[in-house]
Amino acid sequence: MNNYRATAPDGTVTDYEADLPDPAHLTAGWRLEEIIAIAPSPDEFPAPVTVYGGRRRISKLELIALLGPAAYVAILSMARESVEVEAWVKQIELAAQDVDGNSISLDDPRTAYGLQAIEPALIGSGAVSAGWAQGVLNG
Amino acid sequence: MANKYLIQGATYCGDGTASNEAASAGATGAWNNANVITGTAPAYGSLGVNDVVYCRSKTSAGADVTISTGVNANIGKASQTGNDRVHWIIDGGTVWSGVNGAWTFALSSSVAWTVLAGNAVEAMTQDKLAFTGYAGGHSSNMLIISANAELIRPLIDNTANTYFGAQTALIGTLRSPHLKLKLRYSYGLYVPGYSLGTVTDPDVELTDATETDPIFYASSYGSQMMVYGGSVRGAGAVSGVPVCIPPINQAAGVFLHGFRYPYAMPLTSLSGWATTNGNRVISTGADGAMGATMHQYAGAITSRHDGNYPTLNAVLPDSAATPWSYLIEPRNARKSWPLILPVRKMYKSAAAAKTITLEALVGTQFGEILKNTCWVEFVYVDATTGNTVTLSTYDPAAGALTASTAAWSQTTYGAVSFNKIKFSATTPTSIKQDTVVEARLMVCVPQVVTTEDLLVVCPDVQLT
Repeated sequence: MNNYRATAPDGTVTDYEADLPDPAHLTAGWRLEEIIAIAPSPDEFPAPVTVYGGRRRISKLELIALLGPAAYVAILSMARESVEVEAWVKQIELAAQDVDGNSISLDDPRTAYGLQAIEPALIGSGAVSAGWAQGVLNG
Repeated sequence: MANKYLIQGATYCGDGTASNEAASAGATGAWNNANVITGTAPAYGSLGVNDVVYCRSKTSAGADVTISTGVNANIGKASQTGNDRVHWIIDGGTVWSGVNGAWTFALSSSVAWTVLAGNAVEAMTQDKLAFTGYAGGHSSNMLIISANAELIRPLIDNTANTYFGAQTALIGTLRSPHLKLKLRYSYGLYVPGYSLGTVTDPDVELTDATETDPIFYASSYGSQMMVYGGSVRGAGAVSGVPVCIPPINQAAGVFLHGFRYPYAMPLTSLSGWATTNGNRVISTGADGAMGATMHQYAGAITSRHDGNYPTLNAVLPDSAATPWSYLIEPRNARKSWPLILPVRKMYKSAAAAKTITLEALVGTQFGEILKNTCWVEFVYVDATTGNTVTLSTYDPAAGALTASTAAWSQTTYGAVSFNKIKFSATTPTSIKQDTVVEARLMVCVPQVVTTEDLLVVCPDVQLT
């Protein structure tokens, strides 16, 4: 069984499996391809979605944008009641700006630790859904 | 070295030695699986280190061939050594009459095809060998052409990319490629470190006017990109889109010989040059004529004939004797980073002492151009001794440059007004007949206002 992709004259694309192609797809105006996949599709390991194009060092404001407004407000609220959360927020607040103009490294263990530690509480409060912390760390 | 044949989808796999479909397995006839080109040994026969493999451009059933991968994958015979080369040819009707389909190497993920060293892949018909990028977020190379690998007449299309990246790494040779590009936070074609990449006759199609990143990049230490012929076109070939990225690492350079691009496209962004290297980006014939442009950290020099700069005496050796001149932008020039323009003239008269003069224009607002920041070194051959003699107009007292009354075609260029100046020296001895006299303009002061602080030079050195 072969995989075929037929592109009609109007641009409509049809993928199908067959031992032989539809003869109509071999007529003028059609483009017919036999697709030979030599490796698995990307569904098993999709490229992560990023906001800043894969940049790993970002500014404090960019981090706040990655957190999302609901999570940001929720974290600030939690910081009023939890010294640990307040400490993490202050750590970000006090991070110095480096020569590249950024302050936050998404690869810094302290960044990951704080996000992963706070994620369950944010999910519990409905501020975020599962996978939020990884989404922020993707950049 | 032998000719081999491949027909994707034939009923039986032959021994590869003939172009017919084999009558039974292992019989004389073509191989029947395209995976031979991606490194799988054929079921019958063998692939020799210098074979020419003709690939039928359509399957046995009449379809084009599209080979797709979701992981990094190779094209060609592996482990080639020395000058061994397997030449894969996507036939365009020469072997299989009337059959002119296409082979496409596609990506289903953010990965790359690599053309292995010692392999050439050729489409008999332009674009019938295609490399298409991942229709999603491609954050890295889409194609790598190894050293001693070659692609001939391919289509390289990264326009499906929605990310930065999807560039082509060139360490080998690209001949007559059609580069169909959307340059998004990246570049189209680059040469990695300590490598030479060569491109001949590229057809660069920039498809998107909103994607404004450059085409070519010598990306690391010792990268050299050589481009011969070709041109750029499309919606993205517009004002402000640089042709090249300034090479930021030492000993890197891009050299474009006869690659045509519109005047509106700068060769590089002069603001992007770093102080840490002496690299150059050089273009000749971008105007379809004899103009040349050089960019470096110190600034830019160009003689593009479609620049319509003021002119004086110099004319091209064409039927119309078209006037021409140089425009100089000393963006970061200084005495430690001089911007140097050497012009030369053959002295054909009898030996005699002469006054050598180089005429120029300088922007009226460019007050920093003085005799100690801009001067000429005249070099001639002494008729008696045969030695070269250098005369300089440099004056440490920083006096004003000598005014001139030469009859330039105009003393304005757009909004910029110019003063006429000249550099002169009289030789103390006779100039030898049939030797070269050189006038080397040294510009050692940076622009203050980049749009106004310009010089125009007439390259026709006067000997009176």
